[in-house]
Amino acid sequence: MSSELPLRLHPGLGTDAEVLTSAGVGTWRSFARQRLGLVALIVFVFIVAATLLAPLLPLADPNAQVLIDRLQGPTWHHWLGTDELGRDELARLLAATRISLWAALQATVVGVALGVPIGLTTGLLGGRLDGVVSRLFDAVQSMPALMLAIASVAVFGRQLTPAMVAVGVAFSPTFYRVSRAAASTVSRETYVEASRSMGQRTTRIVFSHIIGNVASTLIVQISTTFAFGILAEAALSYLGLGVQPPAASLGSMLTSAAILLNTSPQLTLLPGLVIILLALCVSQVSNALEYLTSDEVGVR
Amino acid sequence: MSGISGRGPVVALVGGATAGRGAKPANRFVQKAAPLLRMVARRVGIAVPLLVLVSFSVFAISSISTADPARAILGEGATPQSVAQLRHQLGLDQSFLHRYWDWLSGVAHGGLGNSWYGNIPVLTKISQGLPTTISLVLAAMILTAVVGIPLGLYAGMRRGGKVDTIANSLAAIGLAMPEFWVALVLILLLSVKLRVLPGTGALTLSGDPWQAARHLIIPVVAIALPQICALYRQTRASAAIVAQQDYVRTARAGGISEWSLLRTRVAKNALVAPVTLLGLQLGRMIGIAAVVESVYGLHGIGSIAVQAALTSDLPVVLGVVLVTAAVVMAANLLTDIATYYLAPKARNS
Repeated sequence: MSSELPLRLHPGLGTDAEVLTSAGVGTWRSFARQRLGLVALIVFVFIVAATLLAPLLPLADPNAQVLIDRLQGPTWHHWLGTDELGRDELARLLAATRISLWAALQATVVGVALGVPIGLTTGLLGGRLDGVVSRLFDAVQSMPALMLAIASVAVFGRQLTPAMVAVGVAFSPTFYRVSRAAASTVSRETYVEASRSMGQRTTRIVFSHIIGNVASTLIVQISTTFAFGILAEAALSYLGLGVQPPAASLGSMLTSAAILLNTSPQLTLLPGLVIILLALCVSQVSNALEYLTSDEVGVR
Repeated sequence: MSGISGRGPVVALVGGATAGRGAKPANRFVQKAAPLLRMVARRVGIAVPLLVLVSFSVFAISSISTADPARAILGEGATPQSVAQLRHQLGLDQSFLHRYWDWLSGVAHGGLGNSWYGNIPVLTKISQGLPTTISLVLAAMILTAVVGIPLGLYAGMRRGGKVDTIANSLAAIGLAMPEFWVALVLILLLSVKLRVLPGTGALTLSGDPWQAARHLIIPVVAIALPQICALYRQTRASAAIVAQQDYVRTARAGGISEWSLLRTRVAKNALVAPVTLLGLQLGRMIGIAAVVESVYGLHGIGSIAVQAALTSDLPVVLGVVLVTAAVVMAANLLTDIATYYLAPKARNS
């Protein structure tokens, strides 16, 4: 198995393989974490594939109501039973997960698209513009993501997309800060000075040097935001601020299930467990990436 | 602008302290506190224009929205005449700059406008919800700090081993849990099945404090759980970095007890990052409280905002957003003051 590890140099400790044999327990644990990241990635890809392929699978229509079959336990026809309107729970979970993943993706894309380009620009240019824009992002950061999403519903009505865009906006300061710091550090490095003095254009410099430097931090931040996006979607749709019935999201499934908490707790437990599984997979992949890209050994 | 407002109080204080000869200790205090006071004044000076900017953005965005609040308030079956009449009543037929100016002059007179339902002042609504939200979030923050920081310090000082691995896995799972779902499960377990805690309902702070505290247990635990996990991980990581420093190793080699090592050499340095996180967590908790309050039937500012959003009651939502933003800015300032004491190195930045 050790041959699958990327051969990396650890300052003063040698390559991964050498560290593995010499440092013993501590490194074995970090190795185990890598494997956990791989498992998490496989599970995540499997879930995504299942939600995308759900229409092709021999499952009931997620919105088809068969009232006579309502609130059934697991049967051969309904592997996870049925909900209060006799809809197939498994089909609904898959449809809901697709909406939740899509919502989390929207928030993440907005956060990146807003934070990264502006952060790179102000980090490179510095000066007064940098100060003003940084204060603006400070203002955005003073509003909790969920609060901003609630405000967007007040303005745009009960729709998931504006709410998730608001979540993305609320997360953009983190992306801004990371990119700005990286660009500002890199722009002072000798090799960027050198490429500038050789007449390369600034955009070129950004792409060849800074992106490479900031990519690892960004990937970790992206997965953190994505995991939060899943949780935020669930919370918003649960409150009725996001997805509207009959469409299912993991949060809106919990709304109707909460009323039946006493008699059919499985309807509350299942969507919750899917949310936890998704968020856990993303955070474990993120941890593994963080390990792969970090230079410090041992401090984890 | 912030520079001028920043210097004012400090200069006055220095002038007062240097007036007499016997004022030496006070003078020293002022010297020590002056940069801190400057920081506070500068931050307050920045916060006001930022809040104005936030409110302006909300007004500007609401003016480009295609959703019509008047139609949302009156419902689907409303006649065009009644919609137009309500739009006129709410001032929606005027330009957004005009409406914003009206609202801003209202703020200058100490109000945040009126709700579009029943004309209740927004401040009255918010002040009805504040006690519940404050007790909820404050209790959750204390719980988070009291559990997360000591556990994290302990784990960071002695990494490795089964307990550490299990604690880390639990923290990862805890972080992945949606708070409102935790609240639902706790309600199912503790109040429906075991009947040891009261179920959902509004909080009455004026009654029996023991009952009020029991009523808050489930929502507080639900809000705090993921934050405890986040704070635990952050504290553990920073304690681990500090514990690897040469001066800590030297002290350890000298035979110092783990407790004095923690107290004298590790804690202060290891707490900078966790304290910063705890400050950030306040904002998150207020946002999450909105959801948990709604789950648990509590009347806090969060559930007021959710109800207002569902009914397109923009003035109320804007008021809650601004109050939240102001609280978060204040929390950030408190965090920076704490960092100022914990990390002298960071004082110049």
